[in-house]
Amino acid sequence: MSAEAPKNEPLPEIVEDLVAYLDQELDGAKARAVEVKLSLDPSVRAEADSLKRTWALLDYLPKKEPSATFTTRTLQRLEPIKAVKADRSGSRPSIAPVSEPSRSSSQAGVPIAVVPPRRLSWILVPVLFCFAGTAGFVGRLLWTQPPPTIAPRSGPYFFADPGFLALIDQSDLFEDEMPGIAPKAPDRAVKLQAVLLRWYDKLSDAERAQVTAGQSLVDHVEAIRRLRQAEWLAGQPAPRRQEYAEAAPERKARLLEEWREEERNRNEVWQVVESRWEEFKKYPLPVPMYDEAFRKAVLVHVDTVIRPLLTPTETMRLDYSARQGVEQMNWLPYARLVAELAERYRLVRGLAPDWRTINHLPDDIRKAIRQDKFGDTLKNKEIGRYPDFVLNLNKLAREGKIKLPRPLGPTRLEELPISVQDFLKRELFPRIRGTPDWHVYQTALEKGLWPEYPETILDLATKHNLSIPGVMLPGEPERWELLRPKRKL
Amino acid sequence: MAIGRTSTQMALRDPDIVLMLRVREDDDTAFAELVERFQHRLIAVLHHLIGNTEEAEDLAQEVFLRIYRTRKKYRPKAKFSTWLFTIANNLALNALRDRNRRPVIPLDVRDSGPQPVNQLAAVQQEAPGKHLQQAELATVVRQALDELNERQRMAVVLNKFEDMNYADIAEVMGLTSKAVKSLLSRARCRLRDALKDYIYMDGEAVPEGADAEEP
Repeated sequence: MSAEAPKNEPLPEIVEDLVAYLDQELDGAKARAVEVKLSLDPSVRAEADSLKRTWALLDYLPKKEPSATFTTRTLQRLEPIKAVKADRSGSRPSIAPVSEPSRSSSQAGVPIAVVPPRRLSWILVPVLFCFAGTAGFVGRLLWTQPPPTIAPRSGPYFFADPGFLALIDQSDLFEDEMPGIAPKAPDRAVKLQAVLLRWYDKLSDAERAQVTAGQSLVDHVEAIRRLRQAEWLAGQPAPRRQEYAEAAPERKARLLEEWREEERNRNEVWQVVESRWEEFKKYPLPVPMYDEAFRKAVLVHVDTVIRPLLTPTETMRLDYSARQGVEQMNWLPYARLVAELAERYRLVRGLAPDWRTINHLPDDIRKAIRQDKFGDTLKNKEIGRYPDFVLNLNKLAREGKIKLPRPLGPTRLEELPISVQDFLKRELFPRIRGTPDWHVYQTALEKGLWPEYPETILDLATKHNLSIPGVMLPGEPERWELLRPKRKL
Repeated sequence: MAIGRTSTQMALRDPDIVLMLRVREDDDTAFAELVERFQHRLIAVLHHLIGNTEEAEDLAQEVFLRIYRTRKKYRPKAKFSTWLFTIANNLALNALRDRNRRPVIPLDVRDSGPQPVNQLAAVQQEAPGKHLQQAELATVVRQALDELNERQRMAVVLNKFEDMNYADIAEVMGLTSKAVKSLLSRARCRLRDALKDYIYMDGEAVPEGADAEEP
């Protein structure tokens, strides 16, 4: 580089992405692209380092705390605002504010709260008082608490309080009775309220009294929690109830939590079954995991082909679900997870190179990268996952940022593993020759692109319900497909 | 008063909205709780923006009072904290613009705000050596922050000290997320340039590829 050459600084758009990356604001693909740049370009790494250090320097700024009287002083300043409001209301009759004790009705013997005065025509106010005085209805309904925010059909006033509903929602106490209603569904609150009311209707008077006895929303939620736990426990098998009854008090809570967690897992599995019920009726068990020979074939495939590609978290999940299978003879969670992992790692070894770091790259690829002035970065910088690292390199090459001497994976029949070649010649080709799918295969072959070529083979095998030995899970692909979200071919 | 489904749904996700809905119903205890909950964060943010404790407290009070005054019109459309910081953003920007129009020379050194030029020069002339005192470093960082324009400073403060994501900052500042990304990128580069002498201290090696060592 000449003396006049500009400094080796990243471009502004790269810096923008870099800052967003440091702030964890980039989505997966963009983040991975930045990670590749970080691994390949020392100037980008240095930029990231200096930006991080600068950000850390801001921690030297002192954090100021409010003065001790801040709340008091702020609340004092409300008085003039209230006074102005009161003046503006003029001679209009008004109901005392909620917080004032003087608003009780001596006639009803029950303090009358609420009803936001400015929302209610003042003409109605005396009528309301009379009604409260004679029938006591308003007093019973409204009690001494804040006003309901949604008019409930029945049940205690607090069933309509958004704060109470939020607490109930967070507690998951009625989650089982709201299947399929997403946490952010627009009508979740209303449905939760309806479930609560249905549940409350079925309670005995004594149980209702427990629900309403507390003084605060938290008390009400706790009472409901106790009743729900008792209900749930009553529905458990007799040996469990016995175990719970005999357990030491400190163990009881843990037992309940364990059993609830187990139930939640079971429910998750059944949600899949429920959502694909028609298909499950056709295949009562999508894959014959209870057939010992088949299960063994699956376990061998998973352990030899899929497991070496997994992240530690995925490995833990796999082991956990396998234990469920062995200990509880419940193989559905394992089958679901395996189906998910087989989808994520479709490009198994042989269809994609197992290069997860720059150090794994063969010499010709390294050399090509070095010629593209990325050579200085060929250090022990581990990035990416299988096969993401290679796919990202491929993407950079497609974008013209790296010139590669050859495709990164197989693009011809003879470059495929022998078992795959045999499968194609003996099973797939005879089946697709003379059909439009033969043209699909030939087109992929002529284009000579990776990963498109092996992906086309996988798609065609799946379409024809054939399993490629050593590459795809044993058994019919369409049965495994039942265990995961539908994928477009 | 009945509230709509949207309000209830928002409240399910944000307990602060529950409090604010009570404030709307004239529940002063709920207002006091909101003040208690948010005063620390609000004053910290305003102090970082304004650089003066008393002024930050005055502005924070004004934010809370504005919330109280407009409580009857409150309709939850976003997280409560986003709304609160939107008001804080507007008030702080107004205050900073007023200050720029009528510059005030403080009688005393401000607690951590922009420093008189001669004092800063003295700090900058010192080598960024091994024993740079924390207070001095705070002064230098404070000055670097003050060198940002108001919007950059607000974005930095919300991102750094409120841990707000770009979408929330965009909502508070009335910008797009893309604009926030660009704003923060420029701000961080300016900060880095202003603080370049302090980034690698105490004999730390500058990483390969960095410009700092280049003549």
